[in-house]
Amino acid sequence: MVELWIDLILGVGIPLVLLVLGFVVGSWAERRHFRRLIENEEKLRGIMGFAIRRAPRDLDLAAPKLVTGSAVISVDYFKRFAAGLRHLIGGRVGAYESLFERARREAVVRMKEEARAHGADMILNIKFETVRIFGRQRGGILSVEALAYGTAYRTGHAGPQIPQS
Amino acid sequence: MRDPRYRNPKVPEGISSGHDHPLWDAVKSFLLVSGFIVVVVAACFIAARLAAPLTPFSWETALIEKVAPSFHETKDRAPETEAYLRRLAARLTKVMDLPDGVTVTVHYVKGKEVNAFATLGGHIVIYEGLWRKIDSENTAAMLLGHEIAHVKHRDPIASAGGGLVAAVILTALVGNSGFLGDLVGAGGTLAVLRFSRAQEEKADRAAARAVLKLYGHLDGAGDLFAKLGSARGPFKEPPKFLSSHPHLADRIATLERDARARGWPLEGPKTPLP
Amino acid sequence: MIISNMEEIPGKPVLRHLGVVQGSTVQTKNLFRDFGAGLKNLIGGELKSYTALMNEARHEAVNRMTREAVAIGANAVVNVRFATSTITGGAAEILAYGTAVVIEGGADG
Repeated sequence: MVELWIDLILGVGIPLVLLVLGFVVGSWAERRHFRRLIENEEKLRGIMGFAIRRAPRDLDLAAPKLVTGSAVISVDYFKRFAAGLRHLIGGRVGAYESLFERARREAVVRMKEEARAHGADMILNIKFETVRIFGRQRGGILSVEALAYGTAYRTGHAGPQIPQS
Repeated sequence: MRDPRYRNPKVPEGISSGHDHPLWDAVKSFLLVSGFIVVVVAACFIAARLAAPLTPFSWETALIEKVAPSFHETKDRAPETEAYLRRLAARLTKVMDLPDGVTVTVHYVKGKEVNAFATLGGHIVIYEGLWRKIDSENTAAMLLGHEIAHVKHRDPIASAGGGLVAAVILTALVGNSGFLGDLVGAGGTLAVLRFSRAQEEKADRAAARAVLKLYGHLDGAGDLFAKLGSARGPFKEPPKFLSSHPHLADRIATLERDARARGWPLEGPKTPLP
Repeated sequence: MIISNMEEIPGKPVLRHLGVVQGSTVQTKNLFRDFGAGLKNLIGGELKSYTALMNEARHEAVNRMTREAVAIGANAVVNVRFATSTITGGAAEILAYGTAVVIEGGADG
């Protein structure tokens, strides 16, 4: 009987506490991250990004430089649980969608920051890559790295417009 | 001025993610998954329940011989007690209409455990710890009658078969590692316990009928549950949905209710143990 | 040295193509940096130490690619791509590759 209660506490109680903790802290952190992302994106609005492969002939582009930005974001306990359930029944895994979006947008912000430090105001041929990294075999930390990279240029319209970094 | 043909307008939030509330999504998935587990386990157990009486008893005997060939050769035995229990069991089986070919073998095992069980092949094990608590033949008959009823109903093979098939299906679908595996396992266990409780109730009823046939009254039958309760010590019974058996108080109440409804005497002269 | 992931450098025609150059690093997580990751596993969020680790690794991969390009006499690498693959045991290979070229006007970028 004692074993049953101990099993119950270990098997159900602790994961349940972790679930609640993961959900509360995880969603708070996610909201905060989105707020910060919106703020940073606004600050970097001066640096334009395009996913075009060839440089437009009508722009005067100078000082090309490969710029990259990346972010490794880990999933919280609640999301992992929710996704695990989803995995059983199929369908869209909403819990992970926001995770990937956060990672990708953070990567873009960092790429733009590097471009700004270089004095650039336009990034062309932006590419994304998302990789699951350092995941242990099973039940390990699921973290995804979003990478954004592209070539940053200073555009030369009516004199250089180099924002201060 | 910038070239107006190249601009980066702000993209509105919430297009690429954040459509469903994560909590609602998780709750929905959870309900679906648990519903599915219950359906799978219920289907397996109902199928096993239906198939059990059709399974030849000799298969059970052969299976237990393979799994535990030394079953009869328990070291710590008390031949006298065992002989007495076997005589009592023989009297009970006579009044319990066991299906053809179904036999009962009682084993008495020394040890502190306050427990008794019936398993495949009609083997019934009574532990010394429980035996010491029993103070009348009527109570002993209730105990043996309960275990014999399990054998009669083919509960061991139904539980083993249903449990095995359900476990195989659920493991194949979910895997058995991580919290999710545990959770599905727990969900399956809860469903299994529900079946177990139903079996126990049925066995209690059959045992009560057998005791009535032997002694003409039910005095001492309910004592079995009281003894089991006193053996529990300071620990409370787990909540009903987590128990393999109905609560002891409920078992006594059911027994008394049935007796009243059918006019079975609850009191009468108790037969002492030898 | 100009490094770009575009096919050409605007205003600087390619004079000679010198072939593919690449640089790669295999990185495993660092035990000490992994320290806080266990907690992050619970509450989620950015694993800053891992981000730094990947950045360093990528930087080193680009460095190696650049050194290859310099060694064969190029003054630019174009059409650069990154590829990351996770291999067993919690290690990741970070690869950078591109085409080494000689462009007109040299590396004044």
